[in-house]
Amino acid sequence: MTEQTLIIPGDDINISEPTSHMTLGPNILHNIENNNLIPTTSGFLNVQTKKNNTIYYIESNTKRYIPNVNDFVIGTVVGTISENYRVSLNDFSTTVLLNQLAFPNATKKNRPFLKTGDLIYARVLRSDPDLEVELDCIDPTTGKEGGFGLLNGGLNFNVKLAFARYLLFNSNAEILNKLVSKCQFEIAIGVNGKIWLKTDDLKTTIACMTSIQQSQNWSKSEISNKVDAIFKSSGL
Amino acid sequence: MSSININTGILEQVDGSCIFQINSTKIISSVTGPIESSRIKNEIPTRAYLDINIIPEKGVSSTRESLLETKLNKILKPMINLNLYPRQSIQIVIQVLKSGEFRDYSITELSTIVNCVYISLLNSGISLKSSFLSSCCVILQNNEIKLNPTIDDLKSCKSNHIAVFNLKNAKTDELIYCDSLGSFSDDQFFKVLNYCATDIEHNNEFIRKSIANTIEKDYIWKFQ
Amino acid sequence: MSETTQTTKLHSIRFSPDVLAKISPELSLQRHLSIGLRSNLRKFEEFKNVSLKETGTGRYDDDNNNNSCILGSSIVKSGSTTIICSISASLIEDELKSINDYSFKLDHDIISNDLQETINEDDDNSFESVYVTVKTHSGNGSKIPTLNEQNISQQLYDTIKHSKLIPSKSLKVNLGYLSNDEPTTTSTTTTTGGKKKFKFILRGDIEVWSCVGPIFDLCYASLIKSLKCVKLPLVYINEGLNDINTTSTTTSTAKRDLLSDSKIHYDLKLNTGKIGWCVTYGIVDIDSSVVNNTSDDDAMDVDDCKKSVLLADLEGESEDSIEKRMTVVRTKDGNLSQISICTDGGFKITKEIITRGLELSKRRCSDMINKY
Repeated sequence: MTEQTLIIPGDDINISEPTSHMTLGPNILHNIENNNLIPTTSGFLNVQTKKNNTIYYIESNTKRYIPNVNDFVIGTVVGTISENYRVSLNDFSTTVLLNQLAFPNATKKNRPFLKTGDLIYARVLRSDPDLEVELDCIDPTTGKEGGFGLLNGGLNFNVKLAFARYLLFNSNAEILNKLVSKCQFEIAIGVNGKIWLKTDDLKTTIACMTSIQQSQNWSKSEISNKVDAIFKSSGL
Repeated sequence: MSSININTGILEQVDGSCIFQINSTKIISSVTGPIESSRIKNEIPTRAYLDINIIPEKGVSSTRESLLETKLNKILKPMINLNLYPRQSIQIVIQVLKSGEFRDYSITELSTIVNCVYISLLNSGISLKSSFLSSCCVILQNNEIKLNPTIDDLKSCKSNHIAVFNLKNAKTDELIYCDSLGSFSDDQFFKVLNYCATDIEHNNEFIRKSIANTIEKDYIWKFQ
Repeated sequence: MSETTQTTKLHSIRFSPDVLAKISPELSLQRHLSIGLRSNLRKFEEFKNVSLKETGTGRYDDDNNNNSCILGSSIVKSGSTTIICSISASLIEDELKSINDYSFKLDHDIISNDLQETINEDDDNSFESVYVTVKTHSGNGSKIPTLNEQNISQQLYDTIKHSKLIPSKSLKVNLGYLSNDEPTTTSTTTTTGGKKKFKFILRGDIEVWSCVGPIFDLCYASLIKSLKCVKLPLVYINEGLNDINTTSTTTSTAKRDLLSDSKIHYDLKLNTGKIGWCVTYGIVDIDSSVVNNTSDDDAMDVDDCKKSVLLADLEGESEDSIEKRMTVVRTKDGNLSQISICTDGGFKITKEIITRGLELSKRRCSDMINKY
């Protein structure tokens, strides 16, 4: 992160070099008439310059996830419609589609069978506001499974969207590093604010969940002590 | 001088929420959305539908509340990027906790509702075109303009006014909505608009600080 | 499909103006305005003619109509729209006034030091309104008032209330006697009315036929016209019961035996300076890319590429889509009693356009106020 300033709708975004290429990320719209950038929500303005390209986006915390292509998400299967599963990414949001053949090596005869209530880890394949959003469970680079698919067992819980993004995109996030030193666990993080966690026994699972959920309200320096305290109080 | 108290994000189950208190008027509001429309009728092919519900301090909703809902709809419609969420609904629920005025008036309620919903919308992350705030005032018998009227001011006033402006770089830019009732002259009307605009800019300093606080609290895990 | 090099021609679909107005009201509006015309062939700032009449079907308008409960009514016509407004009244006990009443306090031993204040608190500062029900006949047969109807009703109530048109004392009931000897000659001294105070509550019923645009203006006009001709009945207590009242044993039965006279009446006193005329404008942005500068511009700058114009008395489907509107009620004394402005996210509402609207309302008001 190169620069961070607080911004709310109605504020001007200064374009440093108007000649170079610009990429607009979430929460910024482009006003064609006067060539201005319009922030659409309150948050931290992020400006990143890479080679010839400047990326502008506003980092903002929300609770509701709006699908974007190539996002990794955790969804719950809520039904079947002809060739597709209906998957819920958010409570009360419009459900999205997952084709029954959108699994590696799936054929008409040989395909994974999902029940209502199953959790899946998937990638957003298509998202257009005028069409239904579609997911798939294939790693686009290898064509293999790549960690996607049915999540068996474990525990699913919600965190803030911004926090989920942070955990997913920072492989050495402090809280996860700390937990690694405490116990063994499997984790899947969806940018829709859902985290799936699996450990060997229930006590550890609950201790991990509490640590992750509560660490949203801790600063980095507090993590180590507080995680220790949680594990201690659960008798681990 | 008006005393403002803001408490953001207090409700867990909705996307954005806020308690906004200014003098003796207190409002709690929640925003959920974009969500699936509950009725086919509310699915608009090109934009989101605004589902606004105002619950009064006492008793059940009446025509007064439905008029307030219509007015709020008129204010919010040009301020939200509704075209980003076709066929979806944005549900806004407002509960008046303290009205601070008689039922024959609705200015302090409406202006507090507008401010409260604005912060809830920011909290929910729904795409806004611009910031907007509202202010209200009365013209007293001695032709003095009084901002943020008390219940006694309303009783004896000649006219009551509410104005909503949008903010560009913390300066009031454009008139979004205004409603004036009573007896007043053309000049007084323009004067009132200027008074409200100044008041909004003044309140904005505090409100902006409060928004900044909320965001910093949200990102506490980023800091050492 | 054959694989030849034939080119397919896509024909543009043509819609007749009324169909286009339904499909794409904004486009239809822009097309019309760009050549300086409105779909109803009026000029931008030209108002529609309105005719106001008393219907003369009230209780005291006709000798044969003595059982009618309508105290004042009017019929308003503008273009194809017809609005009939009738006003009736009911009596209620004015509880607040009773409590503040000196004799009431004397009876209930609640006379305190602030008595002086409560008695001096005059009615001059309080004003009443009319409870209105608006019904638009649009052929859908629905019995439930639509949101729009509810809003117009509430807006009319608010506007009348805050415009201070009806002073509370105009609706106070002066109770009289009914003497058995001469049934029609009654005395109207307030002291005889006993401890209870009564007041009239006015109710307005507005029925709208074939509306073609916003109807608030016309509803307001019809309501004012009706209010101007309201004749309130003389109310008296039956003599027999009056005797019982004086013994102060059964006071609660008195309410039932209030009679309103079928002949004797008096006019409702209005604050005549506060009678107003309401105008609603649509504010439309004319896009310079569509405008060919052929319009016969009155009071518009052609140089300005982004301009807004006022459209008076909106009419028809294409103009109904305008969300940027301005409603002004100007009263006889030259003041304003209501302004509402709302925008649609288009061009900025400038001070000039508001001033223009207020100016027009002044002219329109002075033209129309005498028609009441």
